[in-house]
Amino acid sequence: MDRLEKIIRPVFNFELDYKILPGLVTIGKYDGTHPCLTAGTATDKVLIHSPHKRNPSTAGRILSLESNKEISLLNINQKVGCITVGTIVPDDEKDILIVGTSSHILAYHVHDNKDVFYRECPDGVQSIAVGNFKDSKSPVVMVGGNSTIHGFDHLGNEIFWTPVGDIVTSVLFMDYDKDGTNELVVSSGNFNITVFKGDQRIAEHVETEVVTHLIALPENRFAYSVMNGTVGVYEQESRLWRVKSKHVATSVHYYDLLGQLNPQLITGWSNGKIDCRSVKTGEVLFKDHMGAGIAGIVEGDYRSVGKNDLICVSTSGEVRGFTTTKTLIGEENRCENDIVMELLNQKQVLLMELKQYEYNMRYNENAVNETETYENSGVIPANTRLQIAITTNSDTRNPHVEVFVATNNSTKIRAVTIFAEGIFKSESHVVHPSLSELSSEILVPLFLPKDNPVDIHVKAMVGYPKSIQYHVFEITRQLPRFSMYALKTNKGISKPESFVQFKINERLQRICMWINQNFLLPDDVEFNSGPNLIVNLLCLRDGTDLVMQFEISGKVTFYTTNIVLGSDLVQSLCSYLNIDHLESQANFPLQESKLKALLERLSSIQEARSKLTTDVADRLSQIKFLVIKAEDSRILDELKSMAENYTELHALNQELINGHNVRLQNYNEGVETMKEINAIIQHGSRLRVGPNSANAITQCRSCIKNNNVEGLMKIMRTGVL
Amino acid sequence: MDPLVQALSLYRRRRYDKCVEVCGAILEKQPLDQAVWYLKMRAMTQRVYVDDLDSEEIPETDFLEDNAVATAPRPGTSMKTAVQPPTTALASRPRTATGRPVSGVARPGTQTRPGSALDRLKTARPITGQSARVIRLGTAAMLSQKEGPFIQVSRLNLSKYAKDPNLSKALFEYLFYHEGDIRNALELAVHATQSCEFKDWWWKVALSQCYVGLNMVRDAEQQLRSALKQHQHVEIFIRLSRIYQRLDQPLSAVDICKSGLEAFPKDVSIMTELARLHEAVHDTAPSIRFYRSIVIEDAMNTEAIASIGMYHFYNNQPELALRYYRRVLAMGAHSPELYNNLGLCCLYAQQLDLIYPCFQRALELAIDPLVKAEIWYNLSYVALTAGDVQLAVQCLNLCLSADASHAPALNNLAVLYHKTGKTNVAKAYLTSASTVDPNLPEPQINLEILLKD
Repeated sequence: MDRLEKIIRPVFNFELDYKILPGLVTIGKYDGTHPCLTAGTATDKVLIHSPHKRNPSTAGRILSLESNKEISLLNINQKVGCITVGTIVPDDEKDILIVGTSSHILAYHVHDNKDVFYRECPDGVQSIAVGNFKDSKSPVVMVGGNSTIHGFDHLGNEIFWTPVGDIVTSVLFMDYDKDGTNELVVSSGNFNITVFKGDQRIAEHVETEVVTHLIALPENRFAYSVMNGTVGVYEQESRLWRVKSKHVATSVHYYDLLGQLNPQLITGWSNGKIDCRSVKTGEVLFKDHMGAGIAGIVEGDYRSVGKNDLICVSTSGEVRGFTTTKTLIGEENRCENDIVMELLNQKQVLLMELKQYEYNMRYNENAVNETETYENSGVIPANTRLQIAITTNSDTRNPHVEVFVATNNSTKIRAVTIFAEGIFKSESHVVHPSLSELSSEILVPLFLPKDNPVDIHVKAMVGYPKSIQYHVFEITRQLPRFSMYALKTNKGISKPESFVQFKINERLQRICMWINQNFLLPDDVEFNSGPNLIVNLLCLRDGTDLVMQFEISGKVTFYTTNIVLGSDLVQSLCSYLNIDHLESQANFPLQESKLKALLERLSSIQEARSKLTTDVADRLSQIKFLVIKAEDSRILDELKSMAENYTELHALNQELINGHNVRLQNYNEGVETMKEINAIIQHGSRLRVGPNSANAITQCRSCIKNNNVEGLMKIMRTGVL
Repeated sequence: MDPLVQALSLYRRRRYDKCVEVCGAILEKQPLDQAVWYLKMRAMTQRVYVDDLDSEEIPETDFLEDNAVATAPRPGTSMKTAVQPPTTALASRPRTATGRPVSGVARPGTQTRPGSALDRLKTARPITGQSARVIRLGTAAMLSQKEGPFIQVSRLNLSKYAKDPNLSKALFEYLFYHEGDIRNALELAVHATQSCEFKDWWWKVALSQCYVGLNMVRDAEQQLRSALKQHQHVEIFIRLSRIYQRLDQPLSAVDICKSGLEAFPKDVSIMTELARLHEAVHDTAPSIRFYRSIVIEDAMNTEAIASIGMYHFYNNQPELALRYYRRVLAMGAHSPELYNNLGLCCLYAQQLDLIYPCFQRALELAIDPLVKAEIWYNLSYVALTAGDVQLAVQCLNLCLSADASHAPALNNLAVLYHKTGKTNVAKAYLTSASTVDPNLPEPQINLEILLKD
């Protein structure tokens, strides 16, 4: 690596002298030609570094900073959540700065010092992207909030809305399915990456932790970074590679740093590391290190040489610029060396393996003759096999899915490691019984938190209690999507009141296939005859019932109290049967009453919020008054009244702090309520498929805007207003 | 006569005090008469009503306040950082001590005291536009509190009155203008706009007034924008433009006014707003163009005529300026500033016989010491052009006696003393000039030259 570090040196390096918040770095051409580095500072301000400004005029009373004339600050007065730039105004090439705070979004024309639009986003602003979407001709500002995505045009009109289950951490426009138009890729707090095409969601990826950043790469790929330190690249459905680090990636960018024609993926980490990886393989090609954590990586023509530089900004305000290396010295030599090294390594590994096999073979030949058992020598019989069975267990107090691992002879299983995404707190789970309890079989209980198909990789270490070395058996199995549901015996069958009902034209045999593929049942379900097929299931998570009733006429009814399960079932069945239009009737009285209560709570919260805001504004004017009065008293040497004023000021300050806490509480409650409402709407829409689902969302939005609770209920039930 | 009819008649004849008295008498007999209660409320409001659009002072640099987004905007895009005028002729146009161009007429916001923002606040002047009104209205409220307040605001069931479309608006104006109780007015407006399902633009404007008062400028902007979608009204356009001036975004304000002009072509109020805006960012040509269009629409508009006059004066056309100022005089205006300007025009237009009479009038009319100081300062200039150094020194001394912190006068005195050989006195004057106004370049430069010798 040392060798690599020496090849590329920064082409410029300077200090901003401001603390920069991670993730809040962007670059914009506010005058249409010159790029200006823009970053959010820790003091609720946005900093604009404009090195190309022609001699800043000294006319008037410019408040530009004494120390650095190149930096100007924008007051935002609220905590800056995210910043981005984009040309959103038609017929104007100048970049518009878009700043999102916890409650507002400001599109600001930096060059002309004027607002393009400023509007309230009660759902907060967590991420922003600008791009062309759907059939809109002008760019759309897509804003990800705490549980929704809003799209605005350049006048601030809302033109798109859709609920997402959790905080939207990143929004990205890219051509996902190679059809020449942009899709919206969204990562959210529930570990999902969702792809929207128009109003419809067309794909979903599940990660192990919250995805924090998304970036589009050429050739329809996109890279992502996860809270737990993973960085990876997707090409459509398939993940090309991923790596994990103990640090968190704070910024992802792509740039052709090494002059390889294809850009490389540049990642900035929270510990100040910058690394450059190959997009296709993830191999590290270059590394650098900055004094503080990386706040952001952008690119722009910062030296006015006609070519973009890669600009890295650290949280302490250090800026480092890199450019494409023209020729890598001794590249050919290096390639040869690398290949020789690699081949040598491979040879070493193969030799080791061969040696092992030879030893085993010799031993097995001798074993017949010798009296010593396998046990003493630590070698297992050649015919040892590992068997695995996955079943549901609903009899214990904590029902779960069981993985049963056993060997076919007297060998013992020392330990079992299970790798799977999203089931365990981290990625793997190890079971290692104490020496006295070793046996040739092991039961591993699994508690699946979500209804997702999961690949589990089981590695079992097989040997004898006294063995020093163990043999590792690897088995990969896929758990079906609805594993946590067990077939119910006849006793105590009850039908939940809530249901979702729809009609499909499909043979029951195919539905049986769907059931067998997606449920973990002891025996395959088969349909022989009769008017309908009824499957009674028990949810292992909460002990609720699930009754699936398929009538021969094509009518399908899922009885469950869980709307999430209902929508998951509908989506799964439809994608299996390739149905792209589905209208359904639903009845979830519990959810409906909850929705009603939530809406009421939300309106009361909002009312309280406006009152609290005015309270603060009122106190602020009193504070101003007191500060001046105190200052006047000081100048007049009236220490007594000065002290009085300051005491009063102190009390007022305390009041303000208390008020702030109340407001914070109110805000958090509001966010939570909003999130729950949006989740219900989302699940309600997922009870339908295709355009019907998108339609339901649009109508829900208009109902919420008009405060039409009854209409909302009707949409939940029937899918249309 | 029925006392109610009498009260109504009094109200129409704008004899509000009398009307309030009559209403009070009726209310003593019939305390629950809503019509009389309403009338009394209106009368009391009208008595103290101020046009808050024209009297509002936009704090230029308010301390503890950072509504403006940009702290160092590009010249020409902000009121703080206006561009230098392009032609040399106009470059000599003087500015107020805060660096803003002198405007044709005095109005709130055109005359600010020298010194930093905090320095200015240390005087007894009101701190913000808001508290200025609160203080003024507070005193008005006290006047009527002879037998206790007319309405106990704290006991008012605001949400009940908000539902009554006939009473709510009058009550709002009473709370806002008479009581100066912005918070309760705001609460009433919030309830009222809810009860009419956000369909009445009037309430949105009312809300915006409250928000501006509470310095929640962004909320006010939102209300006004939404009001504008429902109904186009000159007042809304101008209020919105004021919001952007507060946010220090003059170009946004210009955009708003221009869209206002599309809805109301040739509207004098909007054009005045535009002319002032351009003047504030030193964009003289469009400003004068708008003033000229105003004069075409309204030939009696003093502000426009005076502004055009001033433009000609600083554009080296004193004869034309004289014509405009005489027009203002002919319309009945009678102020020391006007006579002062006339005197200066006469001086430059070589109408020497009229110079002294004009200044004499100006001095007779001047009451405000600041104005007096300015007139004496100008007179010193007249004396200098006549070559009478002794008189000039006297004039400047008189100027300083009226306003001791007149930095240009101190500077000029220093120059005169230097000419007469009293270098030490000159130095002293220059030092005090630069301490009074550290931003004035002349004393500094002069001092440097003196110290070099």
